[in-house]
Amino acid sequence: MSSNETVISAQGLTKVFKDFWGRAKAHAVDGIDFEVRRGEVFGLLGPNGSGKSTIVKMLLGLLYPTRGRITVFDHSPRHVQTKARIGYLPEESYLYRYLNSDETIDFFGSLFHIDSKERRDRADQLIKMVGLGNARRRHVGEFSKGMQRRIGLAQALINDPDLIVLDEPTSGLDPIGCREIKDLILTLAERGKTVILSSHLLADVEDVCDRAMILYGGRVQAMGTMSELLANQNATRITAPTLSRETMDKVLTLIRDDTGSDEVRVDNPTQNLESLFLNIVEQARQKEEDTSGATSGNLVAEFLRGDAAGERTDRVLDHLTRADDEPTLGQAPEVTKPTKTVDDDKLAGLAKAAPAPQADVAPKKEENLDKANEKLGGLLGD
Amino acid sequence: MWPIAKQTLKAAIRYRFVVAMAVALLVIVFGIPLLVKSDGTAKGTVQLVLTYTLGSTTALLGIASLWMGCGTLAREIEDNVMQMVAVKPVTRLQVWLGKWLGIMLLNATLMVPTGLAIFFLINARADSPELNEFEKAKLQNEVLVSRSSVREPVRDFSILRQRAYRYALLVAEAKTSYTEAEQALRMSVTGPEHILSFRKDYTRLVEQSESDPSAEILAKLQELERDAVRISKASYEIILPGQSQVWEFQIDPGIVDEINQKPIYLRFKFNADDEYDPKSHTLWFSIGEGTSKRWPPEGTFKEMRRGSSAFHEEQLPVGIVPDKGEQKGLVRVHFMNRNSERPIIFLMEDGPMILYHDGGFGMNLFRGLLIIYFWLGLISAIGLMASSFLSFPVATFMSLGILLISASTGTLEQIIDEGGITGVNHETGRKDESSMLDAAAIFFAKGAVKITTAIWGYSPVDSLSDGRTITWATLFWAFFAIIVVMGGMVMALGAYMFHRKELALPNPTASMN
Repeated sequence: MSSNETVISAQGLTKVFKDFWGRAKAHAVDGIDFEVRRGEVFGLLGPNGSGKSTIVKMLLGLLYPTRGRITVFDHSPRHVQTKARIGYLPEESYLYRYLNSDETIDFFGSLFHIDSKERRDRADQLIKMVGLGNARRRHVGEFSKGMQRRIGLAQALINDPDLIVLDEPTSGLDPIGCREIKDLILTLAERGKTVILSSHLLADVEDVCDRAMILYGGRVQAMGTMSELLANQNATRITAPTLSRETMDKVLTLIRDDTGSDEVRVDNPTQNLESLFLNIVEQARQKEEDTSGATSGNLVAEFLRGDAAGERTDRVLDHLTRADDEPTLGQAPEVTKPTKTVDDDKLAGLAKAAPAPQADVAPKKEENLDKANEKLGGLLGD
Repeated sequence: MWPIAKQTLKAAIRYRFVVAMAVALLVIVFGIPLLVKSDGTAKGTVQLVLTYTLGSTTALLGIASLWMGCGTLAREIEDNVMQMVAVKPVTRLQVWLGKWLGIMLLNATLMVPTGLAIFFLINARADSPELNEFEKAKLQNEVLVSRSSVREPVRDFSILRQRAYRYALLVAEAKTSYTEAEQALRMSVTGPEHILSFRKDYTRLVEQSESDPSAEILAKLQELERDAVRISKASYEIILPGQSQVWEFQIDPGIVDEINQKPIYLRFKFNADDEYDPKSHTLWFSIGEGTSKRWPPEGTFKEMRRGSSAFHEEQLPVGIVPDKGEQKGLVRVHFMNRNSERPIIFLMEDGPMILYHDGGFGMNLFRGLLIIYFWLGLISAIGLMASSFLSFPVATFMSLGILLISASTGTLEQIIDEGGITGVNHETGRKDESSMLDAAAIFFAKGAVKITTAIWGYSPVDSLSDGRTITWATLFWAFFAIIVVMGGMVMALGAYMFHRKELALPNPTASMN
């Protein structure tokens, strides 16, 4: 999917927040190196305060590095022509509350010097795409959080950007909206767009990202493709068509003889992203790495807890730590297979100049969607 | 830039700011005439209405501009909305200028109807059936009019030390005949240089300063020269009992025929060394002596009683300006002080002038409103500049501080006059020894007064209420001084600070890198 063209390059990227007197207050980002290539969906993953948003804001020119260097399309993030190729959805709705949907899209479109007719066409398509066709005359200030995310996404795409920066794009969205956003990301990547996805929602990153960088305390803890990150290096999985009992025994005997170990099991040794993430954070914590963000607070505050609350907390903890094979629901809800809601034709119309997608994109997308569906099915007991 | 300007205007409209301002302006324009208590004359009433209406409009729009300037940028930065604009392909300078342009659009939106309302309201008042023809004519000729002024050429009170020195030596020789060069020197000296020639110590001090240019010698020399300038100015301004003064006003000969169609006015202000309150004094004027047009008849003076420390306008007869020969356009005003005790003082800055009709009130009002509009542009730029790096409340506080300092020129001028801010000798009214603090205060005060004069010196309110023309040249220089020079400096600083600003700092107390 990705090409060798570097879209974002950061070397020794460091950001120190200082107080009024110039004293260092927090090392938000500490000597980070990374590159993002064209066509990639690149995930920034980390707990609160790990430096994700700071990196995003440095690559948008909203914060300036204290040390190190970051370039976007080989230019400074503040380069005006470069900014014309970027779309940005912030983590909160930073929109003019007194403008309606049409005016919002039109205003941001006008900053890209798109002519008024083209702006109207694009606004029309985008507003329909994000499902706000019935609310286009309402002021953004009246919108629910989810609706604000949708209009925020629409404005981020008005210029048909080559690089889309999405900060917590699914926050505040309902499950359908989340699915739509993920489908949209995959579609954009399919069209050769580069997507930066900053999130602490592991499923989001796992579902759509080609590569991810896991941050903690402003430093990179792990980085690689999703398959590299998720592979369990201490076990080998052999995938084969269904084997007969005899064949299985032969294979097991051969492996036991070869490894000299009886610890050979037939199962599916996968590690999910969530456990990987938690392991990394735990390891970092054990190494007592500094973080200027939140750390896990294992205790419920005393004034909130009380005795009853303590019992309730224990029950909740028991419930959460119950083995997977102990179903908690009498009957699993029926899950409908998610349908793709993004109108590909409209998107294609928005980005006539976009480069042709690479040949191997479509199968990957299918693979990702299937994987997401499998996961959803598994979680909901389908 | 333009979309940002439109959006800024839209914000003011959507937040009902425009409605609130429009209501406030309506109250000013229609309410002030009901409250004003004048001297009972139609002219006095209209002048007061104009002064208060324009003054209040300026104050209200000034505060609104400051508020908008501080709010529109600082709030968008604090609400993070500015992040969404800054990541788009616009420079920070364009954003800054767009905001300024938006505020100026808002000001124009409010000023145009306000100006029209003032114009029609004043004209309706001037046409009121309650006024008699005399009052109507007076209004039309003295207030609702655009009158140009002619002053005497500025007198030269400068001192060229070398010329003054050579002249003093020449006077000391007490010659009865002169060479051509000496005669040329005699003709070229200014009033102060002439006075210095009677000071025997001047030539000695000049010679000493050349061999020993110490600070003490130079200070003495400068003191002598300052005294000479003061005496020379005073001899021109103060008319002692029994003395007279003649002022000559040259009107462009090309417009004399037109000017002679309507009355012209002698505008003056005098002081009479009254101990406490201004009092009435008798004045004697004669116009046109030695020219083809005279008033009153040859050898007589027009006697009038007028109050001191206030401007007066005397209507001169229609056609009084000489319209033939070499003296075409020359209006000669002769003043005689026939008081037995009181000297009469005509300060040069208030000096007599001739006013003549050269246009209508509407265009003059338009030019005056444009100068107010320039002020609003500067005020909004100050607000934007402050909010480029400060939070909304701090930016508002700082901008108000700047405006207050610029309005307190009296204090600043006092600092300059007294030679500092510490310990004044009450006998001399000056400091005995200056400290570093005094020097710094004087430096600051002089700079502030210069800046303030460049901004507020173009005040159109007095001119409009007196029916005096605000010329296109004045308008141009007001634009140049207020918008180009002062506004440009404020804009450059504001845009630079905004360019440096990190828009996504986690809290407002975090500093820039």
